[in-house]
Amino acid sequence: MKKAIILLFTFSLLVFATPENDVNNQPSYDLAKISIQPAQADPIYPPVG
Amino acid sequence: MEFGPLIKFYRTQKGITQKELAAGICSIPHLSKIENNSKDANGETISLLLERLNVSFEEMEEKEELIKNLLKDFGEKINFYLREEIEIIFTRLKEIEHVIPFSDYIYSYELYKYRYLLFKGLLAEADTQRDILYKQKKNFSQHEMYLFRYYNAVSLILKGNHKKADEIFDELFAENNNETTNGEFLYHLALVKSALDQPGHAIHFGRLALQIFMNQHNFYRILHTLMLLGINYTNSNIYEEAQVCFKHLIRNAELLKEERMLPQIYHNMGYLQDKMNNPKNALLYYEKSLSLQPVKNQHYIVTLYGIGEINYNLKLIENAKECFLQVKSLSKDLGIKKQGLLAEFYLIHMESPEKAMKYLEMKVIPFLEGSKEHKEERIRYYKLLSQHYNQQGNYLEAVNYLSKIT
Repeated sequence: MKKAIILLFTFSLLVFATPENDVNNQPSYDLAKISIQPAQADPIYPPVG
Repeated sequence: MEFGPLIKFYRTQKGITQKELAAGICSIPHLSKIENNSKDANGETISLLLERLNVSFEEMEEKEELIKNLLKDFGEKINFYLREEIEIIFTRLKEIEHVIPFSDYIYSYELYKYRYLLFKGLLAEADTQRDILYKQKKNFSQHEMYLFRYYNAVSLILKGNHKKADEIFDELFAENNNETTNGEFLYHLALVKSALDQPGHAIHFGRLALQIFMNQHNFYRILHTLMLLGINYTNSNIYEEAQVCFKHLIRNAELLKEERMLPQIYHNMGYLQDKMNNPKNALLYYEKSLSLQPVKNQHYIVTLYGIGEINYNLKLIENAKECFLQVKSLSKDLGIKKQGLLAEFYLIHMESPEKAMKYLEMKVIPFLEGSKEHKEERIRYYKLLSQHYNQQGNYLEAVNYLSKIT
C-alpha cells in the first residue's frame, strides 16, 4: 500500500512537472525573432566626392 | 612655359622642317638645341619662331595663366562639391590640354585629372591615371606628392579599403603636426574612421570639418558632414544629437530641394529610430526613403533590407519574406554580396533556424571576417552562434564564438 502511494505520488509529480507544450509547436519565425534581435540594417553614407 | 618643346610640337604638327622654320631667324643647330631644351633662347628668337608658326608668344603666356587659374578653380569646385561646375572647368581644361605639357602645371593637371576621375567614381580610369602619375612621382614637388598620396587614400576609400586609407591619412596628418585647415581632408578622415567602427574619432574629425565648411559656407559638404555626424552619433548611442542632425538635414535638404540626399536622410533617420527601438517609426522612415528612390541601386537594396528586418521583428513575416526575396534577387543582379547573404540567412531562418545557423557559419561569418569592417555585425552573429551552441549543449563551440567577441 505504502509502495503504491509512493508510486502514485511519483507519477503525479511526473505529470505535473511535464511542461504543457513540451513539443515545440512554435512557428520557426518566433524562434527567429527571439534569437536574431536586435538586428539593424546599415546606414547610408554621404558621398566621398 | 617650356617654349622649346612647344615650338617643336607646333612645327611637327604643321609639317614644317627645322630648315624652313629657322630660315632667317637662327641656325638649324641652334633651333635644334632650343627645341630640345638644351639651350636657352632669348625672348626675341622665341617670339619670331612662334610668329612663323602662327602662335602668339603673349597668347601662350596668357594660356599658362589660364591653366593656373582653371586648376585653382577646379580644386575649389571639388572642395565645394559643385558637380556641374566641375564638368564645365574640366571641359575648358580639356580644350587647352595640348598646351598643358609645356606649362609648369603638367603634374598639377594630371593630379587634378586623377581627382576628377575619383570624384566621378570612374575607378578603372582613375587606376590608369594613378599608374601614369606613379612613374612621374620622382619629379613631383612636395605639395604634388602630398596630393598624390591624399588622392590614393581617397581611391582606397572608394574601393572599400578603409584600413589602408586610414594608414595614409594618419601619416599625412602626422606630417602636418596633427592639424589641418583642409575641411575636405578632415571629412574624408571622418568617413574612414566611421567605416572602421571608430565613431568617437569620426565625430571628432567630423566636427572639425563641419566648422571649416560652415566658415566657408560650403553647403553641400555641410549636409554631407551632418549626415556623417548623425550616423556616428547614432552608432555611439548619442540619440538626441543624432536626431538634431537628421532633423536639421531634412529641413535643409527640403529647402534646397536636394532630392538626391533626401531619401538617404530618411533612411538614416529610420536607422536611428531602429536603434532607439522605435520599429514602427523606423519602418515609416525607411518606406518614405524607398518611395523616393526610383533607381534600384545599392542604396535601394540597403533600405529594402532594412524594411525586411523591421517587418521580421514586427512578426509581419509575409512582408519580410517579400522584401528579402527582392533583396536576394537585386543583390545578385547588382553584385552586392552583403545584403544578399543576410537576406538569404533570414529566408532560411524562416524555414529552419538550424539550417540558418549552418549558413551563418559557412557563408555569412567568413564574408564578414574577410573585411576589416562590419565589426559590430560580426559580434552580433558571434553572440547568436554562441547562444545557439549553448542551447544545444555544445559548450566548446559556444565558448569559441564568445572568445571571438573579445
